[in-house]
Formats: sequence, structure tokens, C-alpha cells
Amino acid sequence: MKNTILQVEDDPNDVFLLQYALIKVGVNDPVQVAGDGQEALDYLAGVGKFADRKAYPLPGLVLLDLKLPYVMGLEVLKWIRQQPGTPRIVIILSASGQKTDIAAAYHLGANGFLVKPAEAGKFQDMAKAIKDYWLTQNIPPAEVAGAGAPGGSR
Amino acid sequence: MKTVLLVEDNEDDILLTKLACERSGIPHRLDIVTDGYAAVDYLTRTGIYADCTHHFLPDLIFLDVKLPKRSGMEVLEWIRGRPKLANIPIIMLTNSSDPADIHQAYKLGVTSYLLKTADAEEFKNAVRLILKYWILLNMAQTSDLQYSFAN
Repeated sequence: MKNTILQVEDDPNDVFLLQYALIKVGVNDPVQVAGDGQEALDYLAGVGKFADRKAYPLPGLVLLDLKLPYVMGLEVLKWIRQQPGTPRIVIILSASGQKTDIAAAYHLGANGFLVKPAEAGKFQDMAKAIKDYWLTQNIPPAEVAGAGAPGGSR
Repeated sequence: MKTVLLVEDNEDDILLTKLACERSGIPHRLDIVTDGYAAVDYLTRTGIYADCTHHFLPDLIFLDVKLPKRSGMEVLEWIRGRPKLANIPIIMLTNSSDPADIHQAYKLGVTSYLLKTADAEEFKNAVRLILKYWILLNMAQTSDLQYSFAN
């Protein structure tokens, strides 16, 4: 089953590198991008153009950067965890592995925390880790009918 | 060395998991408790674990759903309600593919939900992948911040 991935990332370079890496390691799931924290909230809540769930399906996996314009990554995570309905798998992809960030992310309910590699060539290793673990081994929560749209567009 | 706590009552599953962990080639310490109360004792260093010389919290918990005395869901809820333990990644490693169990586990704050496989070879490979992800790649709060994707 195709599972939409929502990449929340403001750096176009990282957007490109991760998407390229995901394709290279054989991830065929469609990837949607939110370029800042507010756009991520709008996407997940189905606001504006994101109300069209055929074009913008709810993601099974959210790859969330921490340092984002407008609304920070941890705020996005907090909002996601406050929503009723199907829980989302949220993996933090951060440029740094600061202990305070890691602690805060788990406290707010992150499923995982990966540090973005400094070298472009290592993005495939990170993409493979995501594929092998989160897209292959892990059993995600099933979408519950009528309960999947936080903020309610249904 | 990172510590993995396995909470499992089925002897065959314990043996299989233990062997798979040993053969993963990924260094870690595996501690095993066989019921829900023992898991609580282990995590609070009470009961038979009061004199335990190993004082570190586990870096990762493998938790079965169906356990004697206190179910896996109860243990999960108890752990997530305790600030000191709340950030430990908890992996439900179980035979239950019941969507209600999966949904409830995520609602109670499980980190990841995995199905055991009956095929020993497949299970061994899965355990290696799981340990590789959680011990070598993913950053956890309780661990030393060793990384990386270098290998």
C-alpha cells in the first residue's frame, strides 16, 4: 500500500537530497513537502488547498526538521500529538543531535530522532534506515474511518 | 554499552530473541523480565532488583502485549506516566496484529510496533535490523550520543 510521506523541511537542498536518497534506496511512496511549520500544520489540518485529500493525502510518516520558519518543529510535533484520531509516526530529522532537542522531542512524543548527515553522500544511509525500519519493519496505526483528519476537513 | 530490556513471558520467544540478539553482531546488553510486575520492579530498582549493580536505565524496551500479572499495555501506560522513564523508546514486539491493539499502543505512546515472525531466519534478520536502527542510528535520550551513518 502506498503510504504518503510528509517531509517538513525549509532547506531546499535537504529536500532535494532526501528525496533523491529515498528514490535511490527504492522508496516508492509519494513524498509531499511542507516548506515551513505553518504549512505543515495547514497540510495536516487540511486547510486551504490541502483540503483536497486526493491531492494531499494524510501522511503515514512525517519527517520533521526542528528549525523551521514560522512554527518550529517541536511545536508541529506537539500539535500533532494533541490531535484526536489516527496517531502519526513522526521522525525528527535534525541537523544537530543536541541532548535538549532529543529530550524535548521524545517528551513530546516523537517516534524517532535521526541526525542529518553533514555529507550529501550519506543521505542514502539515512534514507535506508528510514526505509528498512519505519517503512518495512514497523507496523503503523491503521487509519480509523472518520477519525483520521485532525482539524477536520471531512 | 547500551542496554535492551526484553519483557516477555513465552520461553520460546525469549530464547529466539536472545539468540537473534546475540547473533546480530551489534554490541548491547540484553536484560530479560518475564511479567509486567517484574518490568516495573526492574525499572524502579525495587523488589528483586533492589540490589542490582547495573544502575542504568535501558536504552530500549521490547515489550510483549500479552503478559502475566500486568499486561503490556498497562506497563506501557505506567512507563509513559513516569517522567523519568517517559522518554525511553518502547517497541511492542508482539504476535498481535489486531488493529485495536496497534491503535491503543500508539495512543498510549508506544514508539514502534513490530510483529514477531514465526520464521526463525526472518526473525533473526528483523532483530538485526531493529537493533541496528535503535542502537547504531537513532538518537535516544538515555544513550551516549554515539552516532552514525558512517558504516
